[in-house]
Amino acid sequence: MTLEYYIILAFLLFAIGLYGAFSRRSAIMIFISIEIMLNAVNISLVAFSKFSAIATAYGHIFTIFSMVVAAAEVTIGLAIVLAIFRHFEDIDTNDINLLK
Amino acid sequence: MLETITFFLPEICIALTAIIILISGLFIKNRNVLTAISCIGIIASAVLTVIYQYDPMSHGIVYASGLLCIDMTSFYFRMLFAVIALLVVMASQDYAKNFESKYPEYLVLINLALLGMTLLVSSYNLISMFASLELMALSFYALTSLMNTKQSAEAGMKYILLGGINSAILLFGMSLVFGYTGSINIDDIFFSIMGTADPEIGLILGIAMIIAGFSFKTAAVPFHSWAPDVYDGSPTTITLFLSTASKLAGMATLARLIEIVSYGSPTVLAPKLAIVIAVLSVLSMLVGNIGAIRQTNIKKMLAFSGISQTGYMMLALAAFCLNAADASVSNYEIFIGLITFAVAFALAEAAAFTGVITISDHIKSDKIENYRGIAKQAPFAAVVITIALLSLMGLPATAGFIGKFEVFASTHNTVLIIIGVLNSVISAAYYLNVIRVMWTGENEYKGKIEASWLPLTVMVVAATLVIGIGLFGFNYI
Repeated sequence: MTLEYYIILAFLLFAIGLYGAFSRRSAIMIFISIEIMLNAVNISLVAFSKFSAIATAYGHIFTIFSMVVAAAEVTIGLAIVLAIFRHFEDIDTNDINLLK
Repeated sequence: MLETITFFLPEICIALTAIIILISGLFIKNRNVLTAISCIGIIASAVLTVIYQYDPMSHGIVYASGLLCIDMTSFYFRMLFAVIALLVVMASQDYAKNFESKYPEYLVLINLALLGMTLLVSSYNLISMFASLELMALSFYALTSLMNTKQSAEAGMKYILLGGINSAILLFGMSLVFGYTGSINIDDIFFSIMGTADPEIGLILGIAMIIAGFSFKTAAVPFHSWAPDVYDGSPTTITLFLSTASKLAGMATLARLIEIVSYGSPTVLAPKLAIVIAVLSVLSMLVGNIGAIRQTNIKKMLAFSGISQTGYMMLALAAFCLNAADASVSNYEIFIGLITFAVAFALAEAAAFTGVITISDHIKSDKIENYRGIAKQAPFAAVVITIALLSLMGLPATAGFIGKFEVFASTHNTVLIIIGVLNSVISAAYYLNVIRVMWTGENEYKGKIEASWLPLTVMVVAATLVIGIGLFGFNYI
């Protein structure tokens, strides 16, 4: 296994996540797509760190940061989705368009 | 190691303030006390910044194992953010009755956002940059959806969904830059870019994604679509905070990154980057100004005007790329232009939004048509909004003129200067329209509109500084 395979995998996962984030309408599905994108980033960070010419641990450390931030983001995101559901009784992003 | 702890004192002060408010909010229900604690904390952090973060020789001190640095940009922007946060807390005094029960959390989140922004402008490493950016962004997600209204919840959802996608793109860009340069330290990235005559496609893609990520925070076209909706739905004080501090934090970081990329590779990457930034800048100016003309809601109009102001600030960033190869243009001059513009913009926005908060609080509407003849009921607020809008327009004898002049002059590019000046002329259409509506006709609201003393102080200070900088220049204030 060389670096290319990991980077191609990361790019594919990222593209899937990006497509999902823009095509899905449910807020929860968009959050899942964002998580896929962030996990693609984690793969690429760890792979770069492992195969880098100068052995560094920066990528591994960066991954831990990105996982923590992703968890925090989803926590706030789900709280906001709950607030949306209380107000609109719906989490379809197409139906929530008071602000135009 | 131990001596660098003094560099952290401003941050420790802000974090402590947040914790103190969080705990005392459980016992103290008096809004004035909480506001006072928050103001004291922010002022103390600003004083500590002056004592420990001021770098008169401006040679840059890197501390915390290369995570953070002190230089001229970070110092000026830290001070600016402290002033903005202080003005926001003071301006919230009347408006906070809309979310009375959540007032302690509101102040805590403002302090945490301030902490994120001060760390972001000092970041000298991709990890600290990302972590502090997210600290700022997460606080803002919660702040935008703070009010118990449909609009506020919708604004929060739009902001967090687009912001989440954006931070994933930004992070992917950072991972590519790390992969192709082998480091996450700004200095090492600079030397790595300098050492490659022919940069690889992965590196270029990474830089483009990082620029996209920070352009989202600054609401530059084509990453602006969230701004009008989020600005409209969130509490107005948070709109003020979001449209000034959050935008300027993104802009300052973008300036730092673009500076190292264009000075690292002045012949290969800088010309490419110059085109990208110039296109972003011109598009932001045009879309912002044309979008603002057809707005009927004053908050949305200010959002679009903010997008066009982002375009002017982007001109200063384009100046880095355009003049990277030219040794006769110092980057000091460009930074001064950017900072002057940022100060003028922040003060004018603070004055305008505080006036809008005061008036809208009484007439219960953000529609421009409902502001007809409001100058009779609220003469002081109307004068302040007028001064602020004239400054945003760039009228001479206001701070906005000095800022625009410095930015335009630093580009050394005739085409960009002409486009910028033409856009200032277009912008006069909607700024003058609001002023005309306010000062002519009769309003249905007959009562007297007065602010309490804290928002009044904000308006007096901001408007005075706008005029003062306009008359005497930034260096003498």
